[in-house]
Amino acid sequence: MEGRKSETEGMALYLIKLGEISLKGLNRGFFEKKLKNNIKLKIHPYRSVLTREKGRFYLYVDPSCPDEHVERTLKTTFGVVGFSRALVCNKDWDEMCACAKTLIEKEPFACGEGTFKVEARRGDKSFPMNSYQIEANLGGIVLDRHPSMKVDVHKPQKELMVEVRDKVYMYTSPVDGPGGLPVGTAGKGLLLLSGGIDSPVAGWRMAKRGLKQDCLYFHAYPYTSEQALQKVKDLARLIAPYNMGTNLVVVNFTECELWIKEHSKEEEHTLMMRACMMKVANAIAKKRDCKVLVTGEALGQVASQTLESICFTNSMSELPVLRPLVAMDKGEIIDTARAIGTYETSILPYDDCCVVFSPKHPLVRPDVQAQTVSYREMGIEELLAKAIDSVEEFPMGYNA
Amino acid sequence: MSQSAIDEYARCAREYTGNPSSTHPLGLAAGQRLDQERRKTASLLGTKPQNVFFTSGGTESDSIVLASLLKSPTPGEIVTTAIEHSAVLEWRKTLESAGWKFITLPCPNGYLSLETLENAMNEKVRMVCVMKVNNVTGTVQDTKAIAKLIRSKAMQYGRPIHFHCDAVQALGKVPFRLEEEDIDSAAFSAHKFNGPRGVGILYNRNPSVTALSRGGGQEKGLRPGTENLAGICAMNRALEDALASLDERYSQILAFRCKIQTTLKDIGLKMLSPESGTENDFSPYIVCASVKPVPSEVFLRVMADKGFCLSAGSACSSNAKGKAEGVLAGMNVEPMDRRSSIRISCGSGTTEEEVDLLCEALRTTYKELGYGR
Repeated sequence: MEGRKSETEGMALYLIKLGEISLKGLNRGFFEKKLKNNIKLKIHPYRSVLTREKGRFYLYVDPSCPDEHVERTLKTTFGVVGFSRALVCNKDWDEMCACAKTLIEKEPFACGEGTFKVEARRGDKSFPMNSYQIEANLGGIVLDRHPSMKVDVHKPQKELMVEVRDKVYMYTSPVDGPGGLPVGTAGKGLLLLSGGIDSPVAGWRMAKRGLKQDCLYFHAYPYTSEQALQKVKDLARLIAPYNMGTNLVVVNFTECELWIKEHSKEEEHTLMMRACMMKVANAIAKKRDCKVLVTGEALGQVASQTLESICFTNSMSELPVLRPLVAMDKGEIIDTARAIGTYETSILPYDDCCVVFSPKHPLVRPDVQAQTVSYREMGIEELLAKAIDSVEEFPMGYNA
Repeated sequence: MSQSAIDEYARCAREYTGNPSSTHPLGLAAGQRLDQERRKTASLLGTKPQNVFFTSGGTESDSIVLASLLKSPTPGEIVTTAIEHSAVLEWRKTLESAGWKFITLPCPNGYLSLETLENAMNEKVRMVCVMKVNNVTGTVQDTKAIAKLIRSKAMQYGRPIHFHCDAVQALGKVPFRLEEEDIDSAAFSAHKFNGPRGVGILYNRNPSVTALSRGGGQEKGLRPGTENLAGICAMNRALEDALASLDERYSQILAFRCKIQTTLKDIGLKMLSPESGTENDFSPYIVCASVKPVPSEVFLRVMADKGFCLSAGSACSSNAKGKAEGVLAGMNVEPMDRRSSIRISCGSGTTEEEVDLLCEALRTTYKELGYGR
């Protein structure tokens, strides 16, 4: 312990609140280890030390690391429920007062307005003051400095937390982290990423449940533009920090699309295209050791996302297809897209599918058997195999 | 931008370092040169120097004239065509919110008929705004006959009607002299005749037209802001060159257009520009056709890969979905043809060899995309 203490001497400290992970049983260590690794990888190249005590992570970061880098890391790392920059001092009342005075000069106390509460936890019962006394005395210091502020012990707008343990840890209200489970704890999947609003959100939601994902995009140049591909690259780059980095796999799909157009009924074009995409995605997922596919489908959103259409495309996949947005309204999806910063890129006017391949009146209630026959009759396997073998890959790092 | 315009720009920028409005010797020299250039522009356009105002281009020139309507205490009606450039059509909302009625007349096949215009005229009409050469299809409007109609209506109603003409695509390309026209104001852009971008001319003889912006009173207060003297000199040089070789280049470009048109027809494509006529009917510099059922953007991408820079609809608005088709919609062109419209523009530097290569590329591209013969 002494060795560790000297190792963290002079380093900036952050307290990290863990959520669901704390509820895990015997496998808690697995989740915690993954989260520690994820945080350390993202903080790199700056030196960091992570320790775990009483359901929290203590993150010590080299003082040369900018606060913004740590904040960006913690805000994009699933498993982090909240975090606060903390000050540490000896169990000495004068030192504690000095720490409190430093903290209340900064946000969220700096403005000197609103309600607050001081909450003390006395892990070390030998400390001469009890929790109530610590709270009352430090509260007095806050009121002296910010006379306009008011105490509200039930629903305070701001909090000053004090924990008396081996040392005294003091911090203000935590900043929200993204919550969820550490990426990588749920294995690996393949996200079908288009240039739209939904699929990046779907990828984000699955990453939140610990699924690491590669991304797959079907490019049909010249029917879709280079700008559309660039948009997808930008989207992959935007979700990469949440996903601990990703690989964008781009399939050249032009020949397949033309073949589908030529060899299927017009009203079936979209369904056949999606069936082919499922076949290609399955093959690529297996090559990359991905156990599931992830799509941004939402029930009933468009013709190809009716229950019957979903049943048909599902029948074309051997791997399970996860659809995290299936029961979400478009408005809810847009809200998430805005919150994670993908919305503005998603709405750029570069289509991911050309009107040439979009039927005027698509089949909305396909029959699995009948459309499977149509699919087989197209005889597209050779072209799909060619597409699977001629992919381009673009790695995206986990630092935003 | 032509080499002679670039040289003129460099020479002027080096020689005239003063602000034309300054009273020190450097400023006076620049001011004198500006006056000289204004006289030159006037003579090239066929008007008086006092009617020439230097601006940043066609859009600003159009805007100064249309924004003037907002100053009128009693809003009336403005009659224009559905195929105008967005520099004019985008004023609709602003004018309507100020109480003006903004009437856009249809132009089947790209032409405004005098009958349609006459039917739209009434005592409330204060301004008629018609472009000389359309930027998407190259159709030429009979501005002389339109002016005649407007004047007779003005006489009948006993009040003046302002006639504004966006002549950006006309100057230096098709025969157009202001002294032969009866236009109250007109807009021009230097870059359309190999001059610099960001320089233009507003011709205006109506004193009730007022400034769009506020500033130091330059250009008799109609276009405040320090004059771009080097740009103006370069523009005049380019205009002089363009007008001197207008007839020769016109016949050459017309021959190119014929070749392109023959190819397009041969491939089986539909011309959206006029197929026949004289210089009074269309500008040979612009050819618009439909590559149906291929969407324009797909066709343009393949052509771009082959080194040919073509446009869809109007380049000024091709980034905004749907707007590119506005002019063609105003011509009653079918939606499928609008979505598949491509625009080929020739310039003074276009060579016969380039046109031959273009024709070959048009043919192969349409075929590669699964159509054509």
